[in-house]
Amino acid sequence: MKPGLSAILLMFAFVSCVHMDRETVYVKVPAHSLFMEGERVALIQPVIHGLDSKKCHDLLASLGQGILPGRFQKAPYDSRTGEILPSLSTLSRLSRQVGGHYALVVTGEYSGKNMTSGGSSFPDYSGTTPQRGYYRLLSLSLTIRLYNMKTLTLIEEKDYSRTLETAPIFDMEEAKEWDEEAAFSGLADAFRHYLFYLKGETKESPRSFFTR
Amino acid sequence: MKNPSLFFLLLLALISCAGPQKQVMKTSMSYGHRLFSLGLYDEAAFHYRMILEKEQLSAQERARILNNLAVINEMKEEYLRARELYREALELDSDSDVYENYKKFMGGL
Repeated sequence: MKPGLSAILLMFAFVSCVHMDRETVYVKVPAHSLFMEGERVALIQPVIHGLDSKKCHDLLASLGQGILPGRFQKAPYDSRTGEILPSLSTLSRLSRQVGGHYALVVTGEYSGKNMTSGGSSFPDYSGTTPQRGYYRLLSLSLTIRLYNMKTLTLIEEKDYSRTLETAPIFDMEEAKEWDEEAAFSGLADAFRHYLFYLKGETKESPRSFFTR
Repeated sequence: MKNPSLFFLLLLALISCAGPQKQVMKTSMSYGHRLFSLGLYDEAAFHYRMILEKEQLSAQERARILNNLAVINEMKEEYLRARELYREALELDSDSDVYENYKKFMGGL
């Protein structure tokens, strides 16, 4: 073997020795950079006209902590101060209180009304007959706003609407309960949808991992 | 070979790669890596933490373990902890791979 070749081989062995102490592994990371930063999100107590605000807050927080664990923190908001939407100074104060860098504000309203329909189009609920033909329709409209609390700016605003057929009505008192139940269900569905959108798809990203 | 001193220098460097004084540390690191490869992230993290606590380590070795712990935390979607660990590792040793990991972690912000 030529001396030059052996030197090259030796050099190659040395270089590979240096780099054999690490390998590339792949981690799944959220595609949305907001969550890559590990920032906390303050969930401001929502205001859905006609729904118990505290119950809404608990519901949304439980969903958030399930989907984005450790990032969600509940932040109180008392709409009795007269603000329809929390002002930026209110948001900033709340965000400082809970340590959030982003804030989510959910507002909206719902309404239910009695509907009549012909036998053919009436939904096939158990125990109903086409002749009865009365049902309750719930409309829920929500706006979810995401604020950056460092810059005190609105990042985005998303509208969601849900229309739900509840059940045939027999008296108004019962219908109110159905409305409320359906509104909570619609709220949960819309908010879950938004969180998945926010969290986004995951992507694989390479990392060096030391093996020796 | 025209330059025997270069040859011996390289040979010495190659031998020092597997120096006996580092053998224990390498074995520990390999075991942690093995656990990681098997997807036993909690066990691997526990093992690395034990090394950090029990063994006398150089700044470079400590930084490498912190880097591995950061990667494990990323795997577990514990990003806040991962960020702390990367930063701690970089304060100890500015290894280019650790820095690259940190940059990728921050998502090219």
